[in-house]
Amino acid sequence: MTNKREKGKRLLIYLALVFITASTPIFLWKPMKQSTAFSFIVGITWCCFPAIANLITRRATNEGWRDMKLHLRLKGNFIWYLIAFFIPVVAVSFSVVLSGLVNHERILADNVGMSDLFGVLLMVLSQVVMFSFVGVGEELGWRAYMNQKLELLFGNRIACLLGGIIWALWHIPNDIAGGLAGEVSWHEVFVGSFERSVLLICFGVLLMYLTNKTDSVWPAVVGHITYNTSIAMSGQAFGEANAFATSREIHWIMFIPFVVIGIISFILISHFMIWETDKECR
Amino acid sequence: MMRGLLYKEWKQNKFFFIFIVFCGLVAYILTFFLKYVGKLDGEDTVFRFIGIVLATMPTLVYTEMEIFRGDDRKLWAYFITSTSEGYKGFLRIKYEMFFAILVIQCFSIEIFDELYICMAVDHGIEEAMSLGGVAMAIAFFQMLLFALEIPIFLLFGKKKTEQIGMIVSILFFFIIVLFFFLNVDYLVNITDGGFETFLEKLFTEKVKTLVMGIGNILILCTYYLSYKLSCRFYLKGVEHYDK
Repeated sequence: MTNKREKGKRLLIYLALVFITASTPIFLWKPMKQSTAFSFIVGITWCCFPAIANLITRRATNEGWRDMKLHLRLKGNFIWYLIAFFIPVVAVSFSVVLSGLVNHERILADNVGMSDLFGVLLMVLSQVVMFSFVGVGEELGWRAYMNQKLELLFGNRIACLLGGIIWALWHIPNDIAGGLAGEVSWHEVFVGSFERSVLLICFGVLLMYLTNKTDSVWPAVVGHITYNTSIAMSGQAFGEANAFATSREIHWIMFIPFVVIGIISFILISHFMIWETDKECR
Repeated sequence: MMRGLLYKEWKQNKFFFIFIVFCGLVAYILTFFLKYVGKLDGEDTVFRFIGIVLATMPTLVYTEMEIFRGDDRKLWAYFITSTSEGYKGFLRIKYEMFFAILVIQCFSIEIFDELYICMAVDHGIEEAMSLGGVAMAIAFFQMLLFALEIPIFLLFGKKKTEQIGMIVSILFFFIIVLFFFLNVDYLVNITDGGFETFLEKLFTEKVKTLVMGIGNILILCTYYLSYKLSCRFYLKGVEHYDK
């Protein structure tokens, strides 16, 4: 069996595992609706499925445990950790600001000042440091495993897009479970899934770039957790009315920062990475 | 070499690491014992708070007693200095490991705390307060203690560090007692108004975010500086070790 076929087989096993397990909310929506605790347990386990699928695939195909990308590689890469932290913060802030400008709303609530913004930024930073562990559940599967295989099979550019699409598709069963439980309308499920897919495809390119650049999964983990925490704390920073999740009257405007990040990362991956490989070969 | 050092730490502290993974559960078992077996009256939040504090105590004890157990010997110190990673790599593993312990401790408490809140909601109790922030505050406090203690330990050895620790603890206790005696009225208000009101009074939302944010970042910087200091003091301190 050729090396490429072997990689393809491993990728298929990984994807099969990750999608079968990801569909559990569709089958369990009834007990999840009845019990918040059960819903929480399913949610937490669901986030760990990519990492679990990575471990199972490696074990089942005798791939071994090399290249897990778990080394921090802080030396010489600290700047990439800072970038992984600041880019999602800036992107989420810009999204909120753009939305405020277009909707002619006050960007900062009356009771929010610059000291609050600074305080929230520092709190996000300390939370990211302490809770970065949570992001390993997803990133160990997507960036540290799937993207590696996709890159070898299809090259950098297609791997970026395909990886983002798969990542976005993986979230959909959870949305469907919400629709089945009647928590959101089917229209909201479709629109929400599409919007998040655009965000994830763009943001996934940045995370892939960071992983390739540092040869470590941790900057991607930091980026992922910062993105989640920034969205969660945007209400505290800009006022509840301007929170990322609530101030979404014009949806497309909020995507602009993420699309820009996605395009820049895509250019960097497709040109800079190839240039670096050529330099190494020479 | 790094992998070898990690293996050594795992072998030495296996049970402690397993405990840390489940320390969130331990916190709630302790809460249950305090409330139902001890039959104490009071708010749930207070018992949960005490449970979390008690469950995180072993980490504090571990840093005091265990983290350099068996490593404070001249022979080992000279051996580790002669390896490819040197004493800097050895100390880095210790610092990274303790940091990982705090992260897992925080994560464990947060998970079980959220689970408790979800279960409370299922039983119709909507006002259960999240104590995830408490876990984080404790973790940063423990990080600060570790950062302050380890360079002193490496420079002066175990006995002197224990003596210094004792003096500092007595002073700290004395200041706390003095603070409470000077604020008796305030203390009465605290006990009357309940624990949540006390926390709200102590940290208003506006002050809390900024102070905790700056404090946490300063502690992280102190932790890094502590590593640098430890590296500087290590070989000087070795002379105080037993053979």
